[in-house]
Amino acid sequence: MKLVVRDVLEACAGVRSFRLARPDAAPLPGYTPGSHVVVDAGDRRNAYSLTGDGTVGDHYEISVLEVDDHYTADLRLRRKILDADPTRCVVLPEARPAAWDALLYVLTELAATYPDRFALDCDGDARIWRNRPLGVEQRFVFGDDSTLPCDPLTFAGRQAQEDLVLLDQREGALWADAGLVTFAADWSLNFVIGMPFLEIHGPVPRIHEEGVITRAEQFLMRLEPGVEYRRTNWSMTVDRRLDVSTETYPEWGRDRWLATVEVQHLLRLPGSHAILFLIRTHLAPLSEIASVPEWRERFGRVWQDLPDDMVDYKGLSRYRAAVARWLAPA
Amino acid sequence: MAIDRTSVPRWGTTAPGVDTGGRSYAVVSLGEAARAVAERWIGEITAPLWHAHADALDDGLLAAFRRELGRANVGWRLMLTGPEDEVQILRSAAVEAGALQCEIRAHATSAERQRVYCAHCRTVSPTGAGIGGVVRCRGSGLDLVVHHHSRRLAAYLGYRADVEEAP
Repeated sequence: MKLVVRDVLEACAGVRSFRLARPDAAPLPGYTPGSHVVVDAGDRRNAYSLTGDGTVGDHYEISVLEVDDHYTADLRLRRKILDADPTRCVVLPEARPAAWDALLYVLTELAATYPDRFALDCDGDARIWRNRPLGVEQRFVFGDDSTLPCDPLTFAGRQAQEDLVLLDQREGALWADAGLVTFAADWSLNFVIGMPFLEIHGPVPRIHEEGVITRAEQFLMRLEPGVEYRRTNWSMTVDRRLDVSTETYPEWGRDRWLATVEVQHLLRLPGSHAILFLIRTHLAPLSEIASVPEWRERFGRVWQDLPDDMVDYKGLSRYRAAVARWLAPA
Repeated sequence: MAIDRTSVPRWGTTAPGVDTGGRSYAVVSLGEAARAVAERWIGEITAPLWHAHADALDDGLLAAFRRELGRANVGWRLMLTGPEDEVQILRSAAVEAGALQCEIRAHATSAERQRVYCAHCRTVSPTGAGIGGVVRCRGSGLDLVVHHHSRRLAAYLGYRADVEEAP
């Protein structure tokens, strides 16, 4: 089925939405939430989740991420968090090749997506990375730690806003062997490193009875290099605060008034064959969400329909009534 | 079902058997209750064997264990038995040295003591409180809720208990 781009919308700062329709504007087949389309753009191919509600008949909508105007501020914050707490970056020895693989992926991706801001060039055996917004120029040799000012995963995390987790596949499971996570939504990287995928999600209610995590792991173990998948996740935070990890829970646990939306990408790295899990966290005040009537209605329904144990797990029990009331149609 | 997914260690009432695929073995037993378990394992092992027994885990035994880990080659299998917290420390040292989970079999003879890792100051404190219980952290002095378990850290995760309830 051939689709053309019908509209391009700025959904919010840093997210651009594309509406895809048939050239003759004929109705499209319906879909269930969570469905995706694969988009070919030049020599690049990517899978995007459909972001509509599944009821619209004549177009599909996908949304694409951009480096946003929080770039330098987010990366400054990340450096501060890493300096204060080195356990936010953990690389088990066996994950070192995957960390290099992840660095090359992140730099290549940034340079390909924003050629005006980033460049990655080859110079014999070495590569030269240029990051104009941050004024970084770094010459390095792939796989040689001594050519970087820090370990490769930390270097990747100093160039991209995403949190990074590397999952190795062995013994019929995925194992979290490395990560650089400074903006965790109420979890602790240092604690989960070394755990298999099922154990990491052990405390999450409902998902085990419903088989969600087992299916997700099976899906990820079948990922092949060259395709990327995207999913989103949400929670609540406070004061444009990105560091809502377990480590700093005493500082933020009481007040959560901003919606955090995680845009997650999952892909298999071509060299090490590890799974790279990128988590980009966006913050939006409830008032911003409520400014779009459809978003307000939908977020209100989510708050109403969320089962009690899930509300409890997300730490939102104390707000539920107030937020649901605030979001309810006037 | 729960056993497959939980990070919290579950121990069978009977010890696992020896992995007969091994080419060499290390057996460590801690405490009186573990002696019989280790003796049964050793009786089944015909390949080269390194065995250590002590009443409790101490620095000397841990150092000897690490030396043994340094000598391990492919085909090496590890069998551990004793109180849960000490078995977990040895398992953690083995994994840190590069052992795979599938090369390790363990049996806890008791699970009364737990080690709790404070997410806020990273100190490990001993407790008998169990999952969902509360323990005072020796480092930060905070009251911590005992949450799920990390085999790498050989500890349960503890996070501050009263953040959302405090006035």
